[in-house]
Amino acid sequence: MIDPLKPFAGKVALVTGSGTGIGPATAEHLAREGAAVILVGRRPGPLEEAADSIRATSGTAYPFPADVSNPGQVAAAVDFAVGSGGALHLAVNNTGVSGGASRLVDLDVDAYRQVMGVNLDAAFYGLKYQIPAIIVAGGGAIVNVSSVDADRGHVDYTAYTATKHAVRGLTRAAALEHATTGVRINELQPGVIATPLSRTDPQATARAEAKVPMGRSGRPSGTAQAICFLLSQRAFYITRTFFSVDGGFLA
Amino acid sequence: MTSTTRTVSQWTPEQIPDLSGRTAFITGGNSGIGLETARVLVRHGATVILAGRDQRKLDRAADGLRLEQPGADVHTAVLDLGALALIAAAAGRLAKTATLDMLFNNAGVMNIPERRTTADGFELTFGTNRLGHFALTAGLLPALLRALAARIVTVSAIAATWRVGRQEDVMSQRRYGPMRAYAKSKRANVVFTAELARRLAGTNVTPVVVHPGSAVTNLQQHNQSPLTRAVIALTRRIAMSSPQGAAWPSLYAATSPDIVSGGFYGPAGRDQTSGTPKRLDPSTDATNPTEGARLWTESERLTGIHFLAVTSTRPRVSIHS
Repeated sequence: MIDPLKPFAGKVALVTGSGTGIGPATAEHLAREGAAVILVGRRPGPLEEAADSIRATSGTAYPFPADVSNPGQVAAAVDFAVGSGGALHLAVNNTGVSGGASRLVDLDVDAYRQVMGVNLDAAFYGLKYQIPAIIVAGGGAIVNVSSVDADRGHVDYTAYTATKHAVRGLTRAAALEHATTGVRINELQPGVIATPLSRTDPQATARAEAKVPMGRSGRPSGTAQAICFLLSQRAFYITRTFFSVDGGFLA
Repeated sequence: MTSTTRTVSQWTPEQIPDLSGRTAFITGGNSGIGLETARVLVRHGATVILAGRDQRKLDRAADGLRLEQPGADVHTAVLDLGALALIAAAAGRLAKTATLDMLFNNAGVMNIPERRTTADGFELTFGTNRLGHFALTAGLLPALLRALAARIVTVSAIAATWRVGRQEDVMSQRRYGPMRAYAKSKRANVVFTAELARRLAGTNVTPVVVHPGSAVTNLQQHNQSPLTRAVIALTRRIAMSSPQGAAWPSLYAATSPDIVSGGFYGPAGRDQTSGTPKRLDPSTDATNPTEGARLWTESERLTGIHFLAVTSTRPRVSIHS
């Protein structure tokens, strides 16, 4: 029986981008509902902080610093999850950088590569190594975090836009490949959410916020709840779909 | 194992397709059926990893294959199926990032005169033949799941159908008999494969179980009695197939497109001791899901390795019979 208060009891979850923003909020939510959580992120400091705050509420958290644009480090993170938690059931591929506002013709090639690496390659490596581990565990679910830019062209953010469109394709194809293996794969599409990423360009964020029908930006905790729904048993018949948490932004 | 459900006319290893770029892991790969399996796979372009306890024997076998077939891509892995820690170490290196297309759970011990135990305290025959391969399959599964289509070929034996193999005392604690323990382990290989097929339904991994017929290999080396040895020497010339023929069911199960997940394959010849491989009906309750679940739980309890938990997310597809 699933405990309604601890629906993720006995599950092991891995969340990338767990230093700041939607990642730690998701990790916290998962831990509160019973999962042991592996927090993956580039900077050890914020990871430790997030892990400590989970432990402070008697949750189980293991920080694992890694550069997710490096396939070996993504494989090591999955290995660490299986090693420390005994298995892997749930994963959230949630890393994202904007690359900074720039016209395509002015966009530095290195900046482009970095956006591709962190936003797209990381999701691919994540799926590549998480899926076998989840099948071995007997099944589970993965959520890839995209953006409203998966559905629109965002001027001055071409690389970012391209990666978010690509995450949708990755999610759809991978979900179909695994429709029969017990691994559900979905996309969570956040709109304007108050995170460090949205603070990198306050003017753009303010302009975007003005366009949100609900009149304000979202909070990481709200996005986390939606991610956790997609990961939960209640979403057992949901795969390859995308779920927008955008206050009506894309309407 | 009395009735035949499907006959394959005249299969020979010549029908194996090009295996370039495909990798096979073979336990007991340095001798007997394992080495012969490796030889044929290499001939068809596959990369093989020979696994066994003794690095020198592995090297000798690998060098032999390279000599016979220049350019052969042969690797070795030291593996003691009687030690869970060593299995985890050997599998762990591969499981992290490698892709594996074929796993042959081929190694086996038989006819150990007195009850002995593995490093983990399991009865040696069941511990090696069954539990060691349970742990290895768990450890290598991530690598198999990365392949486009992977096969797990577990080698059983005619002994799988013996009545004594149906005993529940898998550790032979109440009563030990050399062939009794062997029969238990080989019947358990059939039960395991059927259960594995149920748990892997819908994935790219197809488990199959085979029996090689009656082959003369190093397995019989534990036969102590001079009379037994004399009988084997005689039978060897008259009836028993060579390792060459005995590898056919394994090769067929690993490469034929015409394979049923969880199926039991063996030689089609008279008395099922030789000939072209075909699918057999175990005619026992070895494929019963209740027994499969029981063996799985017991294997998990004994090894402390838990994998492929049955969850409500996974569609329960029954295997065709």
